Amino acid sequence: MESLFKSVGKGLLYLLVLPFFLLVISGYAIAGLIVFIYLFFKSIVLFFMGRSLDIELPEDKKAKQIIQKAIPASTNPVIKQDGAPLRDTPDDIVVVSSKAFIPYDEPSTVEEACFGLDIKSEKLSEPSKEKMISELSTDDTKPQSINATPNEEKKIVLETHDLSQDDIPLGKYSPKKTHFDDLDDDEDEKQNKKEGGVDIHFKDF
Amino acid sequence: MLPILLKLTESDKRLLIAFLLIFILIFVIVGAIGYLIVRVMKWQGKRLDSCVSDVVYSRVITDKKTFSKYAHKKNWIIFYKAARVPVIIMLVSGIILVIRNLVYHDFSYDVFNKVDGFSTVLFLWNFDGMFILDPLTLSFTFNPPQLVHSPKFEFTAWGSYLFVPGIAVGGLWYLWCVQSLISRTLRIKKLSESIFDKNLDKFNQNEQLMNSLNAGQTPLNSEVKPAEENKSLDK
Repeated sequence: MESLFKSVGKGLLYLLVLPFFLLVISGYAIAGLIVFIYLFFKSIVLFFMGRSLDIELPEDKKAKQIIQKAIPASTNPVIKQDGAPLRDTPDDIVVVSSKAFIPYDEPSTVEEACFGLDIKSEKLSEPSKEKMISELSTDDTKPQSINATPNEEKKIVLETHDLSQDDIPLGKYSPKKTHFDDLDDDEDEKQNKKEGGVDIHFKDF
Repeated sequence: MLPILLKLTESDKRLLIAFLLIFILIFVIVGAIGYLIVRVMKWQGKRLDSCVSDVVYSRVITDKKTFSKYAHKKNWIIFYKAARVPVIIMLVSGIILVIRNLVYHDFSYDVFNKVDGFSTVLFLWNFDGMFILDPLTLSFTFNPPQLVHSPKFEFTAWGSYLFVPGIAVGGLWYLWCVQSLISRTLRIKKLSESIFDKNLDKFNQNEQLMNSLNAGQTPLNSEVKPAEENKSLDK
């Protein structure tokens, strides 16, 4: 009964407010039409200037730059490089360390799911990736032949296994690039080169 | 005196109760519609959050005035982008009507006429004399409306068939965009007050001071430390 009275009271209130609401909505409709015409001509002018009426304002670009700079410093980012939030079950999760990005796959064991990815075993199981790393890191090393013997392969794996993460070129392992990456790439690279430091991992916990 | 005048019969009482119930039903329906509109407007206003959140999180904008200016600018651009389609629909409908008038050399054309207008495809009733209420005898008679016109397709009315639905769809769509614009404007007002709010409702300086003293800490800006104070007392 109380809810019925509430509904009746609200109905009465809305009936009283309705004329004012209609007045406001018609006022906004007229103002909107004027602004629409203004923005239409503005977009035409911008089109001939080689630009477009973009929803992204200078403040947004500045904010994106700040967020983008903040993401690599974060060990557990909650947003992607383009500023969009990470979903609970993303298609391609990327584990971000302070120096390098290591692609993450579905955990195959319980230990892996609980304590994280075992990079050592991962590297041993995927020699092709290691080859790529060794090729990129050492300039004087010649590309290995496909028909290499098992001993040679083991040698290569052992060589690359000793490779520190600092030697991995950043550009090759960054996540999918967006148009926001073009804003301040050079500055970021310079900053990354300047910064030394030691990587601390708890993957063998 | 009044009870004597208002000697209502049982049928009159029933009629009054019926009217009262109809009024209550109308108010309930209006209330439900109003509630729905409010909910929809809140949902429409939420779209603004995703557009302005970055500048707030990254602290590019740190004051109410700048935020309001920035958000309003963005609000109008969103409106422009959303209202392009309905405006184009309405413009195309208007152009169709102009072409029809040019083809038939008839610029006094009524789009809702019954001969070659949109009303040719509508049911039309005559509602005259539907309710007859006699105040002297308090008698009420109800006559059902009479059907005047049945739907019939007229080829010459093609202009109105295209113009009326186009304008209706475009107009409603445009009104939806305007409602979104109002919702976002209200949201901007609310956010500009809440984001940069410096609320002192739950702050009590004396309470904080007392808490710090009780915990054996030195309050801010105090020159004498509690330990030194005790030493001076011992002497």
